[in-house]
Amino acid sequence: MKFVPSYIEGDENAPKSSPLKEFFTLAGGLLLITVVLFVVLGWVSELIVPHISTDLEKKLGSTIASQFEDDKLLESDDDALRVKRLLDRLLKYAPRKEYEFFIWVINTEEVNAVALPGGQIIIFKGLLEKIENDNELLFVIAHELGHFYNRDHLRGLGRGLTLAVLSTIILGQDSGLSSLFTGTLTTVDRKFSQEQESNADKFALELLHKTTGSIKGAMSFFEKIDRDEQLSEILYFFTTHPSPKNRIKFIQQEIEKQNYNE
Amino acid sequence: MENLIIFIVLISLGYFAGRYAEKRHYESIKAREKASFQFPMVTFGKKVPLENAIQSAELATGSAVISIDYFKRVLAHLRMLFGGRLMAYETLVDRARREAVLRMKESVPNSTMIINVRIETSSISKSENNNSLGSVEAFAYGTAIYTDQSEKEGI
Repeated sequence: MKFVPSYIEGDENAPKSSPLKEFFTLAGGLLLITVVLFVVLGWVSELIVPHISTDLEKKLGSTIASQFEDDKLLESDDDALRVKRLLDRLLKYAPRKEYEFFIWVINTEEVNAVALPGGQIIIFKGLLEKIENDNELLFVIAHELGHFYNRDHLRGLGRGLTLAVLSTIILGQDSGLSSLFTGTLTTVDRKFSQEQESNADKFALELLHKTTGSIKGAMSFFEKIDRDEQLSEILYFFTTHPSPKNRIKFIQQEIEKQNYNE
Repeated sequence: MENLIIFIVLISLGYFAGRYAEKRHYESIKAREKASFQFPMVTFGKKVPLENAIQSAELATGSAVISIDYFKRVLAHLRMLFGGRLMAYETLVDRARREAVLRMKESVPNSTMIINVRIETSSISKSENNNSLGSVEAFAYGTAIYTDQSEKEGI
């Protein structure tokens, strides 16, 4: 037998392919599927949320609220009494709901207020210090009440949980891909949240008007925030609430639409 | 947000560095294959009779370990969801095998022929919960025989 050497190119095992194209096709497809799934789940949860009872919600909320237990000011403190008084004032004019509301003040410098499942409203001390008069505080509390009446926090829970579960199942924990997808989805989620914030603002405006006969506190509060905020407009796309300028614009439009007196 | 930026940086690094390294490696492989294709290497051994008497024999081995880059890893993850040809790894294994064979040939430059050639591939993966292939090792081995070189005709 004679050995006849011949040169073979030998590329059959690894033919030329474009990995970049493949990557974009696959990643794009996956992103599309995930976003569609996410949106559909959002609609489904919108349908379910109004049927969740306040009792169930209280059970959900109690676990979260217990984390704040240690920081709460004593009930006899001036701030706590003040917010309780204002809350009671608002509740006289708020629409009926089987909620039992609790309001707390937390002694940190953060300028924020949150609404937790189960009727818990938390005001941060930093916010209290920024407030100049009772009307502004009324608006803030009314805004949080608006979140409760719209069941916003439940919607947020549903979507966030679905997102986290999906990405963990498909992509495994701590995967680079996972962070890419959660990043995309949270950006989509932000858009929903901003709409929720606007709805809460609308509710707050109406309630403020019913309670005090005017909407004095609303505008002045946001104008103050706008002056103090450092974030540029673009970054607000990624936050859960619209930029102060947009909120002011929205509130102004609402005031004109509903003919509230200043 | 920071995770996303780190991810993009890693993936670009993996893509560009990986593509460059692969291109260079393939060029080197092709050049050496062109130079050494005259050197016989066969998978049969005793079953085919050899015309010339074997004067001595020794073990010839060559191994190569090639690792994947971050970009390939991500691509593989995506592929594992949808199925299909994992082209990212195909080049990996191909390169490793060809490199191993070349190194085997180069390890016994004076021999007449390498018979009973076998190639084995194994994966060297760091234990992650992601089932990712860290790197692949190809190992080529055979018996290098030395015959009387005066007779070029026939083996």
